[in-house]
Amino acid sequence: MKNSRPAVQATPLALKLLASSAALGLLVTGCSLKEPSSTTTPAPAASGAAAEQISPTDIPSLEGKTVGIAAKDIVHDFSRVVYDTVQARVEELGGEVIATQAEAKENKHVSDVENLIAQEPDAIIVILGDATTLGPALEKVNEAGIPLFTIDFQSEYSTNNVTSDNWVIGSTVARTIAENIGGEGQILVFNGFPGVAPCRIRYSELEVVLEDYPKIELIEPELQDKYEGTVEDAKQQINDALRRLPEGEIDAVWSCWDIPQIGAAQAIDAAGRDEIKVYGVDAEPGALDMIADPESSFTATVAQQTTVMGTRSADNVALFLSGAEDEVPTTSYLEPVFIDKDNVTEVRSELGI
Amino acid sequence: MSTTTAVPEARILKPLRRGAPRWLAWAGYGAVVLVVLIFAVSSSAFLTPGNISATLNQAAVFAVAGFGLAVVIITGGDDVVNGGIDLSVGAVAGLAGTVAAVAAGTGMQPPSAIALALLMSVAAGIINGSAVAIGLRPLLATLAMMGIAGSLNLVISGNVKVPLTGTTFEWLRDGRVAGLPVAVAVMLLAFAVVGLAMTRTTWGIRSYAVGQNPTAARVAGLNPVRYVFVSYIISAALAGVAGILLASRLSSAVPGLGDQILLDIVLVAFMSVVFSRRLVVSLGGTLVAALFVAALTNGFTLLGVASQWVGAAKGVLILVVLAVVAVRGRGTAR
Repeated sequence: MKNSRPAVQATPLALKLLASSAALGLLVTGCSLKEPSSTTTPAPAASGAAAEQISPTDIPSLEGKTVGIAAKDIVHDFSRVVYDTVQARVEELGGEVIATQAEAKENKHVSDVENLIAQEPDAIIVILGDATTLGPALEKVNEAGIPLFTIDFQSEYSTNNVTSDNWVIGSTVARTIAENIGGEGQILVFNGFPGVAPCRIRYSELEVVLEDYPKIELIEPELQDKYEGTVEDAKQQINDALRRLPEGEIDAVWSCWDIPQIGAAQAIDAAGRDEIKVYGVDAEPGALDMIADPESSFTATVAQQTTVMGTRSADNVALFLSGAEDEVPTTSYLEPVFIDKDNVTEVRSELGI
Repeated sequence: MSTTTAVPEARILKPLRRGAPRWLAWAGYGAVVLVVLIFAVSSSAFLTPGNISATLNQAAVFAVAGFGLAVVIITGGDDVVNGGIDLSVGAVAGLAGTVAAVAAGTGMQPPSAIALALLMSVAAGIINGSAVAIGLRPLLATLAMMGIAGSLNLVISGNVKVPLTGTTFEWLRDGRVAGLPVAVAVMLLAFAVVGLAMTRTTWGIRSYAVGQNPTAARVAGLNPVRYVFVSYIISAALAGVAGILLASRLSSAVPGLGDQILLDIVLVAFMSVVFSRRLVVSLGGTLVAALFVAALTNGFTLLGVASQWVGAAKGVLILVVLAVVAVRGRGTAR
């Protein structure tokens, strides 16, 4: 479906690698990798969506500017789409991109930022990350006098952070679950990333909402989802839980993102336990397919406006570098879009996801 | 064993030059020089002191852990199935970082916290060494330890990042010794100590002998098990050092870190083959390999090449190493 990326990478790697090292610093190579993926992501829709707030004509050019990008990973759809659209938008505005992605490795993320500093770009955009591990590297960005922008990552060194309102996402999902299961029951949660800000916020919002639903309990022990091999692992864990907890002992499954929930819903659907409802966040294509299937236990998710996030961040860089610093807020909040079985088809065509 | 002289060892070492053509021994270095030249010509930022220092710093963790793994491979032999391998290096490094962070978090003095972390690592090494000594396959024994250390790491950290703060750890992260980042100084120190031990001491020479041909070593009066046992302790201890350096670099212990770094450690240790005159795993080769991999990542970024290509470059490197080993193996009467 959408994952054309691995296929693109696989075939001409060795050849292109030789060519790229021989072709002294041709930036062409930086672009060549992106072309195929940007065709699969709705880049045109992205620039159109950016028009919501500021019309594209108002965005100054990035001609002659270089923007370094340090993404934490391109493992799931959210990060991949943001990574692609932010690059596409910088190039559309005439800027040059130096793109790095850390394969979900903390150490590489720090190295990527350090390596970008050496290149002295006009701005650096960091996509996802952790304030603790990246802090010292981001401080070096500041010391080097390079304006720092972040996407879905709150940092004291960031000029502007583009993010969804995770508090709204968290409470909306929590309220929906509580109402859907009739105000009483047991929720099984995946809570493998209590240290990752968006997940932490969404989980604490769940707790806040449940304060007013004393008859709803979170099942102990909580499950731990993994960042890689997530679907298979979650499927296994839910299969185990289904054996342990007979009918009537689980009413819903919660996670701060969709990927484990895809595995969870697969396991629940296969077991025919249609009394259990599954809720996620991110609107991964796999999750949307399941929500669109009336038979599936996958009940709802929340779409983040990923394409708009990428373009908005690039636009903010352009505004900031052109001197329009006043027009760049500390945080650009983007409205999350709630998706359930009723509106899934409609929202998909609207957002192009 | 105490009566053995250098003569049989020398005989064991003699036929090390195997079937590889002489030029191949220099091809690895040639490739490094070529790549560095390309980077230097293409990007004015590549050879700036700040960038060199950052690149060395990025290599340090993998080099230090790689030294330990290299010792295991040297002593256990480089046979892929039955030879020496320590798959637990990544997980032990992660565990050491977590132990240090949790201990320091409870108010323990940094030196004690570091000592505790290293003790924990050595304990893992003793278990690995014992398991291999009683006849378990290193691949499986250390795989089990990888699981144990990884899971202990989750338990101790509660699967959250444990911040690692305080002047000692900040010094490990940003401090300098003789103008070099602390991690780089540690890397060079580890290289000097372990490198000299492997090439200039009786113990080191015998470790090579045991790895190349355990039967001959046994006939010569050595007890291979003893050397193999020690090699796993060295490997775990160095993994612990690497783990503390990495946790300092990340200002926190990260659960699941072991899985993230294992492949790169294995890569640099095995890649050392192409940077060794005799085309065997070596400490010097491991150092060059770690620096080369870091320089590749850094240089590609400076050239504006998307970092996905670095993964491809590593893949090509692994293939080259395997090809070299295959060519070397040709003509070897095993």
